[in-house]
Amino acid sequence: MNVAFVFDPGVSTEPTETLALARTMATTDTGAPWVVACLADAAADPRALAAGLGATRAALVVDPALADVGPRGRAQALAGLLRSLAVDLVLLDGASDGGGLLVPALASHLDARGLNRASAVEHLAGARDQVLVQLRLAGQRRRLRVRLPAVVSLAPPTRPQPTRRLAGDPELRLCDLAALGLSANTLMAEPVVSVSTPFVPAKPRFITTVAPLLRPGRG
Amino acid sequence: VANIVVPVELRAGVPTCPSLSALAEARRLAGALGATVYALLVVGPEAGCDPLADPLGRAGADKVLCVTDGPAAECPVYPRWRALLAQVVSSLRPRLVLFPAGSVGQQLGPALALDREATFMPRATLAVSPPDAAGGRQLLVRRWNEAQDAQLALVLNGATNGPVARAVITLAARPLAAGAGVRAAELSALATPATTDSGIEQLDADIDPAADAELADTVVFVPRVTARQVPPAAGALPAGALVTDGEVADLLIDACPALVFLLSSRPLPAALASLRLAPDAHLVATGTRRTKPPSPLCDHVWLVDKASAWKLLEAALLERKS
Repeated sequence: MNVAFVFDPGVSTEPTETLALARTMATTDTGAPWVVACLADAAADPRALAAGLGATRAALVVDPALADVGPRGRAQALAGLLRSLAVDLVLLDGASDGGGLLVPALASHLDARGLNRASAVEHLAGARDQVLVQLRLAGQRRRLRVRLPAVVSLAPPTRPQPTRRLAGDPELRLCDLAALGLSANTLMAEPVVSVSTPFVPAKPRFITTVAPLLRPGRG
Repeated sequence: VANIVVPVELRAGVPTCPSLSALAEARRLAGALGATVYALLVVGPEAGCDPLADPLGRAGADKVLCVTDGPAAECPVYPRWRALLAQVVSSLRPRLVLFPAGSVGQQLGPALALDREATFMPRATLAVSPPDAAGGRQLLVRRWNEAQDAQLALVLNGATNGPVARAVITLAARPLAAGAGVRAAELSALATPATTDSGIEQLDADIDPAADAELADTVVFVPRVTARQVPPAAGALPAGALVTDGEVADLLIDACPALVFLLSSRPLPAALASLRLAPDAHLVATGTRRTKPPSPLCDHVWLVDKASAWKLLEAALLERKS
């Protein structure tokens, strides 16, 4: 099973439980999991980034046009890279899943099954093209047999893991958007949402009763 | 006329409190925008929708769309819901899809937003503007960014003018007010979508002992020693109130309470770090003096003797229940 761990350098560059899980899920015939990310900062050192995660092999899209790209555009770039790596299973940290959008966006591009916020992913005995996904959803703990390819994010919190020190340098594949047949103009934009610094009444407000806050209705 | 769709979550055949409060919120918006509120019910072949037309109508639905789809009802993941949501959305062209608080909206909402080229606004607060000179109104959707230091805002035009913008929203859980609707909703059955292979098979499922945590509208963090004393009384608390010593971080990931009380003077419990709130939620700390609260996120400090805080709060919660 060819496995990739997708991470967001803007959220964390530390090894996490999900990366450890990716190592468990990768099978010997396909080799160690790919550590995959988009990088906008040309000054960042991809090799150091990969080594810091203890990656045996890493594949990165490095392009300044990725600087202000949202989950939809990021998924386009990542999907191009993941497709070239022929990945069967993509794992993400819940904290790096673009508010839940990255998983379905990647799944759509890769024609894969997408599941947000699983609590565990395991091998299924005797089934090389399927995995077992545990999900807490709608009041039930569920065990799902999921056909590959699949994109799954793991529910936070994931605790940092100790970095594995590797004897040699990680195998590194770098590309830019052009190599994936993309450009700044073809990356999907997020719907327009304005960002505002909210009007916040001076706080904290000191109160002597909580009854008004508990009234049913609009909180 | 704009349509608002509220997917209703059933547990043991009964709509969840957040589903009913989402319908009430939809009713409030619909009243201002002249929209129609559709409750979307997805049930298995053995269940029916008829008994739910009355409670859903009284909660705020104009119409109930009933879809009989066994695989979708069994497990609400997007590969199983894609076809039925596409059918609903293409026929109604809703301006808004409002998911109630809980894990289902976090699972289905982002994928639906992507498929419909809509904006996904999780844990959002909704407000309607006063009418402009032409009598039009706008709907303002706000949510915190991930860092919780700025708000993202989306303005949707009123019901009948301007380009149609679309949004998929998840709401905070709120204490349920008296029924916003007045009568049973009109019930209509929607054809079951053609069966497709979702590639996902549910092997087994059991009741999650923490199932209620994700639906909580009020979360009270108490010191561990108090937590040990709480359980006998907690059983009498209204549904939707969760009392915890903070050792439930993973259970609160999908929660979006409207009210959070910190009855502990310790630094914020780790659980709170993973909690994401809607912009109009209240985070209340306690103190006996006008001093800095344990977190800048706290918007209220309740001036109360710590020894009596729990008793007073318990009494207030029980009064709400009555």
